[in-house]
Amino acid sequence: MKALFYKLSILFIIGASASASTISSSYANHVYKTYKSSLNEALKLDRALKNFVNNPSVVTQEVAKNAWKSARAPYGQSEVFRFYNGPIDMDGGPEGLLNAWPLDEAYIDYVIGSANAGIINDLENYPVISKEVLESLNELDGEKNISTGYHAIEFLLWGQDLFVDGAGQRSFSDYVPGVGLNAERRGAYLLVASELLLDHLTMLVDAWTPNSQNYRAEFLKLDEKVALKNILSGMIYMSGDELSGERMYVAYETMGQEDEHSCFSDMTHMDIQWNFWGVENILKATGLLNGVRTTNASLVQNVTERVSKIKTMLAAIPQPFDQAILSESGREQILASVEEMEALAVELVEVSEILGAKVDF
Amino acid sequence: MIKLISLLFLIFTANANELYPAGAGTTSDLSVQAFSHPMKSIRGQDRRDFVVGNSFFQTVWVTSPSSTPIRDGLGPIYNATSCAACHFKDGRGRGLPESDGRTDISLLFRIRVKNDQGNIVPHPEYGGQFQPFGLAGVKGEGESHVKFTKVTGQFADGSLFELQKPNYIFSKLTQGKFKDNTILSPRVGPQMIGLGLLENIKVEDILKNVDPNDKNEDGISGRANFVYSEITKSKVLGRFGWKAGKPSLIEQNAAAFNGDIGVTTSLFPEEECSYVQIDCLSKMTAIDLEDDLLNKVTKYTQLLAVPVRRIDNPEAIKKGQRSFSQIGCQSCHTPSFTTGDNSEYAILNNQRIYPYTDMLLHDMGSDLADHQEVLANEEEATTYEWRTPPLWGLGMIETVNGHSRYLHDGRARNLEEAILWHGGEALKVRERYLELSKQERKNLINFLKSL
Repeated sequence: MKALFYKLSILFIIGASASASTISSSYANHVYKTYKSSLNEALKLDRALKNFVNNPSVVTQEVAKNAWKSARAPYGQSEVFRFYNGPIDMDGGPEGLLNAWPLDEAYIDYVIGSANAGIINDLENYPVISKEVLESLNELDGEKNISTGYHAIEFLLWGQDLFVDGAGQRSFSDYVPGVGLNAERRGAYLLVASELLLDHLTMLVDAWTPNSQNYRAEFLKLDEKVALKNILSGMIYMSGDELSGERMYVAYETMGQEDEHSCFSDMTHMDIQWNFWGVENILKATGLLNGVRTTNASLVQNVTERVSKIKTMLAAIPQPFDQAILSESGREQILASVEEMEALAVELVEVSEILGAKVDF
Repeated sequence: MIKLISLLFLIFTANANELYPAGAGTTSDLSVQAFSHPMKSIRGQDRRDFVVGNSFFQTVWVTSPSSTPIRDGLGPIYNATSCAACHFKDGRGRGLPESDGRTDISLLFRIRVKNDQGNIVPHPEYGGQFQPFGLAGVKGEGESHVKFTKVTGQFADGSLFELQKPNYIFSKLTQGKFKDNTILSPRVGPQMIGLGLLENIKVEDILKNVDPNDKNEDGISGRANFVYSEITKSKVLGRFGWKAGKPSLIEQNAAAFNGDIGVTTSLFPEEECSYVQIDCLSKMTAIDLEDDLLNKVTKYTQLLAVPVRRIDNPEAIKKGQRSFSQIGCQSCHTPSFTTGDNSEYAILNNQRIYPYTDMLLHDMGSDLADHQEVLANEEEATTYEWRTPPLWGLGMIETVNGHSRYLHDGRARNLEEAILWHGGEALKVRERYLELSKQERKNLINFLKSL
């Protein structure tokens, strides 16, 4: 009875500071802005890729690579919107088509030791390279591997990363007709993959656009606690499982150069940071910690300090990531960051409990 | 709203624990990810290892050599390129298409022959398992198709039902036709939930229900399959696989890695290439998956949780549960066990679990048998016998895997069909099911869906 009364008073307090519906709308706004940003950068990437394919050269390739890197920044910060079956990863959602990895390189293009590998070089089975063909092949029940998305584009720009001291070194001449094997098909593949990226990001922007009959509208109608639970699920699973575990700890364990996220461009050290900024962004955009302050001010302080600490730690991990997992100091820092992110996840579970939106973790 | 209904259910039920099939480790996500969570409260190093194990469970294996040596070693012949291909989302494969055609990737066939001496051995040219695919330059073993024939029947109330009996056809066989003495056993990739808990049920508790001569005259004669362990180098109780052929998860996983994907480990270091499969023999690889990583995959399989039960209609479900017990389903689908305390993971110890299986072999009749003759084709298990599969998670298959196909080869298109296929020891139980009214049958199915 006492517990019930205590819980009821918490509800009143929450009502007084940051109401859940305000949190929901600020979250929805933030998600929309992040996807819009991702789409804008992807449009710039698309233009750079078209320019590259139409005029393959060292310069146009460099411009395209930089555009790819820039496009990754907002997208990386959007990954925290996963883990509650929202538009990105509900059944039929585009997550796998956008960002799934690792990539079976030989499935797309030639690799060391297999000069004729991949869809690009397989005129018999894939006479046409089109949007429909590529989309249908992606992640076919786990049997076939990734054929579209950011990392497919990355692979087509950089090539395999066979170098200790840097990223992949694919030559622009792969795209010069008459010089690169199946150069036109490679160019076509690259541009189709970019088109698909735009389609999928547009899907996400549409789902979160204000004043529309879409997921956002439904999200805003959700019971406040349900919406909060979703928001926090994304943060907790990103911090506690996906980023710390899947994206850092696995590579730490296997010490496999290819087990890093953006393995062709050696940009994983940035992916990791962008993914984590996504968690912080939500705290800033929604102010959801305000609802916890009166109940447990020290928890709020711990979370705030830990978030800050993790950001610093992640930025300090030696670059590139595929070398950090091999060096003693790099490994120390990686493990320490993993531990901090796990601790953060546990604290955020506590936050969710106080807010009446307990996340199962 | 759901909590209130569960509360109502609690009023009806004797035991609140029934809502939590995995005990304290039960999880609450009921989306397509429902089967993929670790036991509740798994943290720290255990959780990290779970994530690493999951990474290797999902990974698509590639030909060796490659630029990803940790994840290569596929084949030379194989059924699928990843565990997830057949155990998608840690769920179960569909096994069969909607109508005549190629069997699904999630269905494999074990092969045995009865040799001249009358012994049951792996096929001399095809080995112990049919592997349709081969690497570049290696012939796969062939293709498998299914042709369905109708089987009709009638309920006591006069209404009719129709089942699809699968007939398997093998074509494009690369090592010669199958002779008459060949025994082919179809097996679909089963769900991965709660395996660590099943592994942790005490041997004596499982053996308590053994009754090969039906001493208690209830028509049920469950047997244990005693199988050879690569680890103890002796015969021990089998638990995993459709005929309880493997005693532990590590052995089940290592055998599956080898037989289904061609990934070798210290436990099963040689791929199955027969003496005639020269191209296969020439492309075998040394140990593909090191012990440490195999252990992590095993840890992953041990720590996968079971989702909470869904009680959307407490009264109907309670009635269905009563029918389930009255007609005799409980005789093999034992509702509950309490796990032992042998596991290094506290969350697996001393848990009251509700898997609805006795973990024993039962003669299921000729319609479900691999072969007309009764022959021992998996250690001590015969062509007529199947280990009682656990029923937990049954109602979630549609959500997780997008189909509702059941039984060892996915021939049952829904839960009722699965019941109607029961034969052998279960014949009387099936007869009692046929005698239930339409509403009673509906309630029973609703009960099964709530598991």
